[in-house]
Amino acid sequence: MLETPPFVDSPRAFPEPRRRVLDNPRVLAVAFALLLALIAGLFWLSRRTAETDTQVLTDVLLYPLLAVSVALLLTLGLVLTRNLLKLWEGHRQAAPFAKYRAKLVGALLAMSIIPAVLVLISGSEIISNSAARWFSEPVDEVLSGSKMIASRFYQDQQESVTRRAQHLARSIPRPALAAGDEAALAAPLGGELSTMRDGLIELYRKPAGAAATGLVFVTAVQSSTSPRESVRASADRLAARAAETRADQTSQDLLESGGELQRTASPIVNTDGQVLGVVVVSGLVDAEVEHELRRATSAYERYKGVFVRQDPILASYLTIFLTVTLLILIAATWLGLYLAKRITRPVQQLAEGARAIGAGHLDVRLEPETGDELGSLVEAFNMMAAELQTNRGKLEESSRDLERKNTEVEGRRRYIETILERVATGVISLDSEGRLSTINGAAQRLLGIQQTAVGQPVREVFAREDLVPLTPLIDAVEERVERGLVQEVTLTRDGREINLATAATVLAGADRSAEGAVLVLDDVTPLIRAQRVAAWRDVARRLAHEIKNPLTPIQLSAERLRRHFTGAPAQTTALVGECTDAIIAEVEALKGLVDEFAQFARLRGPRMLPTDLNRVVDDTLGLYGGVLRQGNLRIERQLGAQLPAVRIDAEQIRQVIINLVDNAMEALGGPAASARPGGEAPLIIVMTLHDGRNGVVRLLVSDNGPGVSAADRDKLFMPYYSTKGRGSGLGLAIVRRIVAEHGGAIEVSDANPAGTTFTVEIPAA
Amino acid sequence: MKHGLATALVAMVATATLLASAAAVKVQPLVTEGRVLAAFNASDAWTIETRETLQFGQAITFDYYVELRRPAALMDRVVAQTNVRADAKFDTLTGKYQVSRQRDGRMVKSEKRDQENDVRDWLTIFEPIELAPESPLKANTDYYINVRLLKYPRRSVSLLAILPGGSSDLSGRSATFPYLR
Repeated sequence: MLETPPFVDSPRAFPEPRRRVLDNPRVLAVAFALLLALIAGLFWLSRRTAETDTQVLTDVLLYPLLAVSVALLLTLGLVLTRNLLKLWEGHRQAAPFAKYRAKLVGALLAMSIIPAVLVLISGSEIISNSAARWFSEPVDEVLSGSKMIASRFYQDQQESVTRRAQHLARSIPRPALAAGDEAALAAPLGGELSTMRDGLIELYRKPAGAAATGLVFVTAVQSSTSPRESVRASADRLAARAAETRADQTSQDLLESGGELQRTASPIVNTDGQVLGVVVVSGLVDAEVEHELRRATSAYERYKGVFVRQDPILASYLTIFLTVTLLILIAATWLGLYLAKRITRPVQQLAEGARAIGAGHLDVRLEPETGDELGSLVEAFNMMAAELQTNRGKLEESSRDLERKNTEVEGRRRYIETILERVATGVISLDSEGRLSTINGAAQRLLGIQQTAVGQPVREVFAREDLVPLTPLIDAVEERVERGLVQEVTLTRDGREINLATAATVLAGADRSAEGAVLVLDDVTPLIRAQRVAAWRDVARRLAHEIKNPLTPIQLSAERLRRHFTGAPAQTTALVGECTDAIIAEVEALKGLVDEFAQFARLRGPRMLPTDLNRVVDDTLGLYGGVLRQGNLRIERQLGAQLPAVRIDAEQIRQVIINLVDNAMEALGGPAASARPGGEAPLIIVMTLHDGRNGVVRLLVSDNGPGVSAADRDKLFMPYYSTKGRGSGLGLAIVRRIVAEHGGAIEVSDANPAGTTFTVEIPAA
Repeated sequence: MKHGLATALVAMVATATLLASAAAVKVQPLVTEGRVLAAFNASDAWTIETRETLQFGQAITFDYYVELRRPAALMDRVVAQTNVRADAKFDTLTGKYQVSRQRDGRMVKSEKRDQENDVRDWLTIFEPIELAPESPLKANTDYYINVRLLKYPRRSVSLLAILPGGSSDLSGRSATFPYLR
């Protein structure tokens, strides 16, 4: 029934595969026809058992049949044992439907075996009883009597013929015989013949000196009704034998016309015992009589033949019956087992199949072996399994699709999160109830709020004093301004101004309902600063152009005036000298100022080459050797080992270092700075280090000076801003610009325990 | 046979057991002029039952299988064999016996007898008959002659008859004799 194997992907034990040959109706029909033919043949044999030759009966029929019966009995035993063992095995393994199958097999076997055994017992009993009635005493007596009468009659006839022959042998005149005188011999022969009903008398003489068998036929007489076909040769041989043995010899000749000729040859001897001749007397047993006699003895012999062979015949009948019964029994048993299997196997397979389906083997298919209801059930099962498999395939496909999409979404989400985390733009998302859903790192940094704010109402979060300027964004979200709100906001935190370009966008769902909002915060402070710097550079360029040009004539004019008044009175000369010195000094100052402006305005782009930053630091700090010989100020180098090369413009970086060191020296009070209020020596530390994780090289310039207030830190890098009240205020602006053009960054922080630290980050090469 | 099949089966086994304990065929080997001859006598096979069967007018056959064998460790080897069959039939009408003998399926002699004793001897006593081996016998080697008798008609049934060699009614073997040349 099942395809092989039953489960396409499972080698699990299953009911045995269908035996297609045995399931073929034609094979079954042929087997059934053969069985019927075999049984018919056995019946045919049984009808011929009584007439069968005894040797054939026993050696050809009985014993082979007995052997066949024993073989069939063994086969039956094996079939039953095998199936019982299989049932027991199924029961032991708690196979599905094992009990049901056992009951069914038991019922079918009982239905076939019990009647067959009963028929066998009763049939054998009937056969035995019938055989006992074959031989009854009256029949035996009748047949024996008939045979006795027949044989007695026959033998009396023979004895009568013999007596006549002996009588003639004694009464034949010897001289007439010796002379061969037929006339003289005719009288005794005729006289004897006249007493016989159908007789024949033949006379032989032995010539003197002839051999014992050298008889000469003399004469013969016979009744008119006696058969003419008697063969002389038979009489000659009989006479010769009688002459030879000197004793009576008898024979019986069957006649072609029917009947039998009983003959006796009697030797004719003289007083000396010499054989003179032989007389052969033949008496005819009539054909009809002979036939009846033979019938009587034949019936007796047949009867006794059956009597003699009654045991083999009976055994043959019983064996044939046993063979037929065993054949039927085996066929019925096999049929019963086959039917039980045909009934239980589909159910069993359905159960197994259902179990396999339950275990997830959806590719299980059962092959319907019948077109009946069970077959329909199997087909329905297969359809169900196919449907389940298809559905599961679809589910798996859509699950895989969903999983793929989820992965994609997750990846996209991570990508967006990563971007959001990495971008400088702050992004805040709000849910439909105005609570913070997400806030990226930039937003946390810009607004100074923590990740823990997620889930809190944004209005509460923005209620903080420095975040109040953001309130209009919340208002716009709550009012669901369709186009959103875009505005620049300046936050002041820790004295620092942060310029933010903000945008609030309401997220609308498919039904245009508000699903939340997104706040985008872009730190435009550097941009504004850059704009300011650019403006200042433009101003500087104009100033340098507009101011520097008249300075030289002014200075020259002042010097001319001083020279002109050298001959003037001393008071005048002193006044002029004082004024011209002031003019020249201020012009020089203005020139310096203009030069710085010009430098700031004309600052060229860096020509970056891979450079050892430590060497640049060393070279640059070497310039301060002469300056620092007097005074307490020290510059300490802490240069990182194995610092990677950086792509920098060495000249510009040197300018950066000089500006920062000069700035630190200024903060400490110059090269001759006195000890710090705490008693420690004024100290500038220049440090380089490599931050491999972020791929940058850092240059730190720290001092233990008074430090910079938080409010001034951002302004430090603005052009023309100075806390010293002198100078152009362009030094740190130039530093920031150089660093920015190197792709780096600079920030200022408090040194520990006091002072200021400028940190310059330059990308590693 | 009143008790049906079971009785018949028991009877078969019993008969087989009785036959198994029956007397043997007496075999006398004779070696002369390089030829091996066998004379045997199965007079024990002439039983009352045999005589009764004969008087019932049934044809009786004594089928002898005579084998010249050479002893071997596992299975004796048959070097020559012949089949001798003696038949007798009593004519219940004439009161005479028709007897005949065949050798390997060929009729040797057929005649009539008047006396039952003659018939008995005809069936059971055999003058020396020659056993012709297919290949010459080995000189100075021991041989023996085995005679197996099957009697027909069988009046009883033996289950042992379905086994190989189990159908013999009587058998006997000669003493081992050396073949000297």
